[in-house]
Amino acid sequence: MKAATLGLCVKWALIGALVGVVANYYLYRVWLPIAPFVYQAF
Amino acid sequence: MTRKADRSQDRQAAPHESGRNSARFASFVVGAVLAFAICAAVGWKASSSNIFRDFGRFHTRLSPESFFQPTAREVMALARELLDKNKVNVVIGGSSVFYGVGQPEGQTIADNLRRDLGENYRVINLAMRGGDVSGIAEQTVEMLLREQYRVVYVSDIAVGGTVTLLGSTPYQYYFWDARARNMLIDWPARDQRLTLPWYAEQRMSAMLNKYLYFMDLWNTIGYDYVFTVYSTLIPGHFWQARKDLPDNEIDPPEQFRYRNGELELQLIKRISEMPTEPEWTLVGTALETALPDVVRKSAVLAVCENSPWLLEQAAPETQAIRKAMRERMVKRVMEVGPSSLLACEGFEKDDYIDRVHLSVSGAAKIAPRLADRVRATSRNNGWVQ
Amino acid sequence: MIFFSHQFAVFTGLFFIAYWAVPIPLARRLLLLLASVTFQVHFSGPAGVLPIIVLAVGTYFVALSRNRLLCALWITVCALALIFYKYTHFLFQGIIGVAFPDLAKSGEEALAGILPTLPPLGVSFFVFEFVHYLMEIRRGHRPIRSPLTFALFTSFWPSLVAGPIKRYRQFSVSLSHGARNVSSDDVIAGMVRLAIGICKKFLGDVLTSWIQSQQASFDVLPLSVRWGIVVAIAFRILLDFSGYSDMAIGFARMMGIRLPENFNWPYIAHSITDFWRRWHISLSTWIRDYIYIPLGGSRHGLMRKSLNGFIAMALCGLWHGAAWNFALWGVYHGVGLAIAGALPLPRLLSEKPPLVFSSFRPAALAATWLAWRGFSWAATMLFVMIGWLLFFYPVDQAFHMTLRLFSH
Repeated sequence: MKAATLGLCVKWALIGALVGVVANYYLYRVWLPIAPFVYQAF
Repeated sequence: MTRKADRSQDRQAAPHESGRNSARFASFVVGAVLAFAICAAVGWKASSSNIFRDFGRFHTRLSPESFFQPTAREVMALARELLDKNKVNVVIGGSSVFYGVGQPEGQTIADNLRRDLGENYRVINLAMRGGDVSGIAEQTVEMLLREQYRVVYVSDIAVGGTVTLLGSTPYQYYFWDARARNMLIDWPARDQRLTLPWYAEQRMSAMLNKYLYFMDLWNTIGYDYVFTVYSTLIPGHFWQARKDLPDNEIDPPEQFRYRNGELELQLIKRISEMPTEPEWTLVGTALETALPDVVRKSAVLAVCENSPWLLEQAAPETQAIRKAMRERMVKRVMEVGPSSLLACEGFEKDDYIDRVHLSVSGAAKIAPRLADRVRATSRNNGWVQ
Repeated sequence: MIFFSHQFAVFTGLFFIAYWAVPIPLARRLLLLLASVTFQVHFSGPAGVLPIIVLAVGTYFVALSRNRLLCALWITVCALALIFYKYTHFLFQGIIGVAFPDLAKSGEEALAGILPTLPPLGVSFFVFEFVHYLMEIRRGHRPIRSPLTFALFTSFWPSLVAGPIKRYRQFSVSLSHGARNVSSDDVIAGMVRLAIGICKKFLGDVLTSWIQSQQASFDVLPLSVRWGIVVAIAFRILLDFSGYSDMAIGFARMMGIRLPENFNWPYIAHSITDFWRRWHISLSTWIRDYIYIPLGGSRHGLMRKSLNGFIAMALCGLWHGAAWNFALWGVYHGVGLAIAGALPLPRLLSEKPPLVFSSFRPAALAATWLAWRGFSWAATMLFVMIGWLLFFYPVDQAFHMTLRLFSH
């Protein structure tokens, strides 16, 4: 595999990993009873 | 819409299916899935052993009040470390009274009880401010009983109070967590009441956490490294690892005691005047629904009266109503299983810091009374001679 | 909010797995419709979905007729529906009740049985999209013939709660693209956008909690903290709202559908005009296209232009909520826009360096221009931040807080 492709893979795997962590954190935060700030719901 | 525009978006967003694009997509998906899975695995691993160090109680900076929501697995891991299957274990639950508002660490009811009971007993304080007889402590008792621990559950209950089905609102997540993991005692009387529409979200949250351990993971991160949620209880340093924030409960100096005396007196009067069922059977029914029978049989519920200093200031008829009510409470509680006692009889002004909370001296006074009941319950259950 | 629940998370997860797994465009569209209807029904609140269905069906058939008068009539019906559901209480309490309290009371009592406690979910967005659609038909554009496409335009779940406000021609094109071919680029871009939105929302929540814990003692806080609160309020609303928009845009992108952008770095704006080109773009362009321009826009002299701006911005303010402070916030920005557009100084500030400096050497010119630019940016931000006080607090409190920003 070319170095450029490898670099690309690592970069996007890291971005994917960040997204995965955010998804996990989202699930955690959603369970906390924090009154949400509502800008415009209707 | 035009076909030209349609084609132009297709062209713009169409995958230029080269190897590089596939590699990019594959890497992204693998990274995301792997990271998510690792989070779940780390969460599972983290709550497989005790994360809490030098545990005294779930003080305000280590409790759902400040968005730290200990999970059933975490509390059980803690309990397994502090308790002992070969001894009689005392789990303290209830409200801020038994949690120990007004009693610094080392001088709480739990600490006094531990000293009074001696080496043959283990004591853990799982009471929460604003808590109830049902709730985190009681549900932990269920889990411990299922693991063949010998447990006496000790909780306070207010005069004229009753018991919620799943514990006070901020702590109900724990019930759903424990239930989703099938750690609780099977109790059909309670299950039949789980029909309210707003339980659906809690049920779903607990079901997701059962497999994904996100609460366990972020609790551990928040306890050991950095906390990510702002709390008004820890305004200046909410991000700080919760392990570094000590129990900050104080023995309030004289000028901070009975600060709202007049208001509290009015409250006593109001509570006494509230129309109640004459025989107050409500508390018995609620206890039977919320607590499985094995827990009730092994429970000591202390009926705690308000500060006598305030009560004596109330009108004679108010005092009479209170007296009748507290005696009725003990009777009703005893009828459905638990050992019950009027735990604060003969206490004085200084044994309280306000209408309901006991001072350091109050904690020292109440502990021997509770210890007697704990010993008696242990004897009744055949655990000690 | 709705995007922040585990039920929603499960709904989303199941939906996307099905959407990506189904390769047939029609099946994808049907699936999207099913999901959107489920979403709307589940989260619709006490008003239910009937009002929206009635308005949508009417809009669909009126548009098909291409009759300009009918379109105008139905636009009126939509607007009246919005007024009824969202502004009845405000009309009675905030306007009629001021002069005729008894009349307001009896009016509210008469409507008590009909008016739901909360407006139908997303009614402001529905109505604005219907009005846009009918206005475009009146202007001679072709209506959507397919009931399925129109139903999807109406009920598309990602933008249901907080926009962005869609434009039907762009959406129809994008929808057919998404149904045919979701690329890996779309999925990645959508997920990253979604994650960014989530992070913004949570960061906004931290600021919200901090603001709430501080605002009660605003008066006695040190001046620097008072300014800190005002800055935090500005960032809280940006992070929260643009985070929500990012999530909506991200969800849509994961389906291969592009929604209009809503924000473009609004806090680097160097004039009020520039700010409104960058803030809540889908709303500001809607206001421009369907209120400001039909009123005459800038075509009838400075006075008329300013008046049109006031009306458009007051309505823009009221769209955010049924209360006087929202209307005043709109007018406040209307004044800002009028001044920015009318006076030479702000124009000089916002556009180019004053000509008087053109005889300077290039370096001096650049430095001066930068200073002007910095000043215009700071002045714009000050104006916008004080505006947020008006947006979030009752008028007298906002006024008091503003005074306290400039006194010890």
